[in-house]
Amino acid sequence: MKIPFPSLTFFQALQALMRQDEARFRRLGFVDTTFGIRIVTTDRAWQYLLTFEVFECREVREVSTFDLTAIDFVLQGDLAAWVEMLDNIRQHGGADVSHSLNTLTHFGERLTLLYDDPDNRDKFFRFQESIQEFFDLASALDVELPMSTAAGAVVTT
Amino acid sequence: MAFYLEKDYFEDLELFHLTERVMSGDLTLHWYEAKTERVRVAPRQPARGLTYEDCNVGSYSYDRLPDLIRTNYSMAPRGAELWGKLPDLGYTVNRKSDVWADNVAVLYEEAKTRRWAPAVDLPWETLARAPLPEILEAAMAQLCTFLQECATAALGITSHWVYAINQEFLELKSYLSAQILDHARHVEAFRKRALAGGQGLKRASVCAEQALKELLSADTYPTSSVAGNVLLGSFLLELYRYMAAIAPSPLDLRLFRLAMQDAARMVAYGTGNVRYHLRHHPQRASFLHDYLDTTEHCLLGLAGSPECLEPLILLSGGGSEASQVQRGSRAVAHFLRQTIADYLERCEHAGLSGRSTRSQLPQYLQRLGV
Repeated sequence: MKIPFPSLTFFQALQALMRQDEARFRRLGFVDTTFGIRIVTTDRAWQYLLTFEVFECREVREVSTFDLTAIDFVLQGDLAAWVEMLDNIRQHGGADVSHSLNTLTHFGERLTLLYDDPDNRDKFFRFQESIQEFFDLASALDVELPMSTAAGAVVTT
Repeated sequence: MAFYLEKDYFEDLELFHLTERVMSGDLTLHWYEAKTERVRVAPRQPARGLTYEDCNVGSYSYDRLPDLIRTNYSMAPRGAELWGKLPDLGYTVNRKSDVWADNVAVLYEEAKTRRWAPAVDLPWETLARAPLPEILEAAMAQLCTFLQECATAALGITSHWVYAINQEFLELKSYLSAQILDHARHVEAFRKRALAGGQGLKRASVCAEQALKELLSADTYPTSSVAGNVLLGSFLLELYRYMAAIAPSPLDLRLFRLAMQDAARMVAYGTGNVRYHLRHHPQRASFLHDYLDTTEHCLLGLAGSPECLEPLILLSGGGSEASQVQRGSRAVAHFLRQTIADYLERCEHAGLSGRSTRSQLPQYLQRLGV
């Protein structure tokens, strides 16, 4: 069954895969962070809150706003950037250098890190391997991505 | 300086006879009624196991530690009954507000579970299958030579203090020991990376080593911590992060991503330590500011050393052609701006208000045209 992106179902599917692959994430160590995902187009935004605790993703939910003082950070980007990243993960079984979360946020053009407290933002670096491997699990999903247009924009249905 | 105790246990008849008696079944059991608190701790979260936070109870608690340790200079663990003539180990760092951070216990548990082993956790075989072009491999070998110098200095900064810190701060001493292992791991990983690529090591950096020596020589714990964990830590975190973003091979991607995680813990402790220190001694902010005023130039000695800057430019641009060097220089300029902005933001947030305007680092970059 195809899993649409963006959707709560997509993040729930990653959460379930993480639970199934517990040994892999146990090897990476404790991951304790709560962060937001913000996917935007010109006319709408999807927002999800992900809570990681010990070795698992404890909770995913859709939210209407983020309180940056209550969470660690928000990963924000155009739908096109997220789609390109997921497409790359699907092709390579995991993000390559150009499409890793670190690279996309480092140069700040495709994805941006929003935060209130730099200590909390630094958890993105402290738990980098776990967060990246969580997203890399998408390579095992049959994801229905929005269509790309020639201009690089995406069309959602 | 050697220490010799008052008696030689080989010649101590009292101990000999006592041991003989105990071995024959005549136990003293004087320890059985020790005047200590009886507790039974258990994991709050079974998946996490029994952590130091779970053990933060009653007289064993780190929350109940006085700021200044006056009663225990021995190696007796916190909460044990102190009796008799326990030795004074001569600890010189005895003030909790100088060394502590609220996240110490968490970082210690995190450091242990997020450990990695360069020998087996890095895909060494991928480099043999797809070697880098010679110029890029040479640049990587030079960068890894430089990074070993940095990791050696970071290791020296931390290990210099571990023994001097009072044993009552055992979670902190344990965290610093984990940090030493992180630094040792980086020395190992960067050494192996340089040797695995066919180039071997390159040149030591005079400029960087002079700067690192100044960071190593901080004479109080709070200044040493801000120098090592916040200033050097921020530089290394940003450098590992940058290298993970431009990694020329899957091996380098994983190597720098894992090193980034370790450096981020170092920075988290450093900013936590500054915050804790200033919460208890707000008047010392000016002392730390003064120290950083004289020490921040070391960051330029590191980032500006040709043994760091040039390989970074070549790796960023993808080669040594003029256009590649130009592209690489632009990317490295971004890295330098980001490094200094993030470092200053961390200082401000940790309680060093006004650091961004007081620091000469942004103006220096401006003068460089960066």
